[in-house]
Amino acid sequence: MSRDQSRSGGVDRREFLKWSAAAGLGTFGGLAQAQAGATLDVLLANALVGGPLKGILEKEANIKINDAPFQSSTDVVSRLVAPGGTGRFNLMMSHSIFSRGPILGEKAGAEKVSAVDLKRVPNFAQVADTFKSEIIDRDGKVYGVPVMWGYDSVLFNKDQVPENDAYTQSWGCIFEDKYAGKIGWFDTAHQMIMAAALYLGKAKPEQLDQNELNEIGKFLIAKKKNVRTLWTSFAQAENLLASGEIICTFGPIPVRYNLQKKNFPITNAWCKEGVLSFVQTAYIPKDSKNQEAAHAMMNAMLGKSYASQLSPVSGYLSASKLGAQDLSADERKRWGYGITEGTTRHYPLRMPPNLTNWIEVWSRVKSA
Amino acid sequence: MNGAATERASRRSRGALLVVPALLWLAVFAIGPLVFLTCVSFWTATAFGLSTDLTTKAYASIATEPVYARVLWQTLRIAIVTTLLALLVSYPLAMFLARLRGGAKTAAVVLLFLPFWTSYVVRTFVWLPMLGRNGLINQLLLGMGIVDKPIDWLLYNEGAVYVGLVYVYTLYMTLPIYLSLDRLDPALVEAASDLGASPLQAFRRVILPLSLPGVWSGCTMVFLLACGAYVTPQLLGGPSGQMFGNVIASQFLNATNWPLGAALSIVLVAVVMAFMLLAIRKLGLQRIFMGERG
Amino acid sequence: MSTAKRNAMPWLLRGYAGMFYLFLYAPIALLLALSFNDSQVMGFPFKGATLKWYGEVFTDGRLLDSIVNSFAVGLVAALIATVLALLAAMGLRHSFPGRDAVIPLMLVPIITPGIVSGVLLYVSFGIAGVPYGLWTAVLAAHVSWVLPFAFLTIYPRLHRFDRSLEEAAMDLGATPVVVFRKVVLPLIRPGIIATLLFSFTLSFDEFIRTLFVAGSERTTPVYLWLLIVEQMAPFLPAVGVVIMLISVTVAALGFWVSGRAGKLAKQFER
Repeated sequence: MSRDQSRSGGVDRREFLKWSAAAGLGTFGGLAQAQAGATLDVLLANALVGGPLKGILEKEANIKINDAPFQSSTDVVSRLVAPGGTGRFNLMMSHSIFSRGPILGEKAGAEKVSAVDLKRVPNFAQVADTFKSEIIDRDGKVYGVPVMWGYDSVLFNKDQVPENDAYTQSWGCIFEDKYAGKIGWFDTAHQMIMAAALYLGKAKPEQLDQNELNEIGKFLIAKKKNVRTLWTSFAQAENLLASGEIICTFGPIPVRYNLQKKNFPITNAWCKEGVLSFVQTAYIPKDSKNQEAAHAMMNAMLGKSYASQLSPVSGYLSASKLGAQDLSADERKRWGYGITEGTTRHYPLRMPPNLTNWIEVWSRVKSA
Repeated sequence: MNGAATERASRRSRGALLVVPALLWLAVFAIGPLVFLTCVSFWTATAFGLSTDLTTKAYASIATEPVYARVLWQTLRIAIVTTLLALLVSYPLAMFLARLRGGAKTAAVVLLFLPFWTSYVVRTFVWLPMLGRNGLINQLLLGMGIVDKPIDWLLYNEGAVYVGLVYVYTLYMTLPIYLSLDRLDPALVEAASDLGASPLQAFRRVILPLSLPGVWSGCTMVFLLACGAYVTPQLLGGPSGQMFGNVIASQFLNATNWPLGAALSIVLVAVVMAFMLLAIRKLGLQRIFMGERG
Repeated sequence: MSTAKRNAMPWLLRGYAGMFYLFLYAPIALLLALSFNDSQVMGFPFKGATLKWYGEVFTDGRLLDSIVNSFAVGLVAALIATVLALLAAMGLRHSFPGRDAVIPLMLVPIITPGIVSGVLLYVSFGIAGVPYGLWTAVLAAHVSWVLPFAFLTIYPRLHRFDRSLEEAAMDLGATPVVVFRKVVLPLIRPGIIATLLFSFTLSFDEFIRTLFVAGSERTTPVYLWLLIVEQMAPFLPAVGVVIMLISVTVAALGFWVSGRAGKLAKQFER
């Protein structure tokens, strides 16, 4: 859920300013205000401007980027709706499912972000068809543009878990008994319950009613005996996999990516029930200065140089068609573009209307 | 004479003003926010942020959903057991320290403090490579041939939480007990045994009662600290390692359900305060915190 | 019974102390061992010795910054808290209406669990629009946390203090300030130093409240926590050892200073 997948890759710890503290109505003082036309203060997953990615964007859009520490999508949205939140950052990004409501506000005219001037973002046309439904718009005006996407699946140690095995290529791998005592779960209500719901065959997991939720709760409580521990941060998950405490777990991209870079034999499964996909949209707070430069950055993020480097550098995928253009079929499959091409089954991480109940059920599972 | 007495009286009332700065600070940064949080607990969380519409929905959820009461009870239980364990572990050491003299005493006290000068985070984390499947203890056991497979149950359960908590809190328990035992005049113990008391009787009748203020002080601190534990249960407690602090945190970190988080916090503070008041009533506030008469 | 036998430390107690210190130091020894482990994972198996983690620690500007921050905040918080606690303790020697309520009020920050305190300050500062930062929210959080402990440390010392000395001085015409400086202060100096040291230690190790209100400048525990959260931390043991060494050095200095002050005060103590 909010403790989400958009953490940075493990390039150089000095480059990261993330921390796991609270979401909410915070205001982050002390960030330098943008100089005229040149510097942008942005709030997005730091991995998206990590390593060479930042330079690519800065060069193409002729800007300088100041990325603030990213905590979670929920936090980004809370900052936007907080008093004074519409003027603190020049560009923000968060999970589309958390963003839609707060960005648009209750009715027309209550939007917290500027309508995107599509003339300034010609690459908008490059947004892949799969993601057109993620565009946040109202009355013909676009407010949020999908820029990046990713997916969660099952991560496993391929030295200990056979890769080409039907059992492995399923969410059941982290629920059923085969690897009992060596399984890890992500300590979050939204994703785990979604995964369980998919595994149990629910067609629309985000629309579970209370009875079905309770049923899933019981299932999770029954399977908890197979779990070694829950983890809350990606680093924790990496540690657990690398040290051998667990051999399979719920798997966000950065965990797999960081471990692979360190030559650990960790890879992800393409769950037959569908991996959980998510999209992050970018938007421009309405009272921020340098709107033109913000548009330029948005455009650059959908452009070829950035989009094609996004996966190799961070493991995340670009919502722009230009991202996958020059990749071989094999590379596309590996990065996960099979999802957009329809060859890999996925289910979007949609927002349930009764999230509080989901959290309650998860608390119940944890305290059982 | 009367003039001097009035002088003194007015000096005294002026002197009372000295408490104002501290109270003011606490009013702004501790008590005020607590009052404010109580207000927040009656507000409403909407998809678009916090609205000041009043509602008792948060408290209603706490009352009706059994998981909160269960976790609260579990937290209190863990806190009490931790306190008792810490007491058992620390009391003999406090006795040991109080009996030392001179250079050995200073050295022993410093050695007690030393591990607490690494960071709390490090002190908790270190139990992972100690107790884990590939950890130190398992490696030793395997190496010595005592077991042929690593032991799983050292970590990621309630026992590991106790180990972690007692380890980080033992100083808070040892120190006050040591301080109150240190004031103990050895002549008293000698007198007791001169009068024919066995060491056990001397302990029960002389040492133990005199160390009680320190004991209560230490127990209070450890209990309060354990009630609010957050990192340790999350890190070491495994799939069921959840204490009330974690539940509160997830309302703010994962859900932006501030009213519920606020309500849970108020409930925790209220329960903890109730415990404290109980202790104060039974023992007298002076004894708990002042450590000596008057 | 012979005096020697009565005063001798029972071997049981000695044995227990030995086991206790073993329990206390085993993790520290492990930390030391792991700090030389040439492995990407913090833990076993041991893959060969290396000094590279220490190298990283000493070249990590952010870590060194965080240590400086922790020290700075710790010193200031200790000073403020000690002053406030001292004033309060002195004020409590006089009787006034509501006096009995003061001590429970002073203890509120201890009663409030860490996570709740952190959240309280986070919410309050957020709504008040005050930016989070080292010298705003973090300092406030640290002083509030430390104040009750400072009070509990200094109050008994002051409480024992015989006021007839002060009153005699004042009857002779000395102003309250002079009385404080010349009569009270020298005698409670060891207590003040103890309070300062204890406060500093508490502040230095304070983590959970700070986590919620830190801005971009970190204190050491927060920095460590974030490192652990962001990535696997094979260098963590080295960091732990370094922090311990720095703290030991500072504490040694502190004790040395207070020892000198204590010797002076001992001449006047009853």
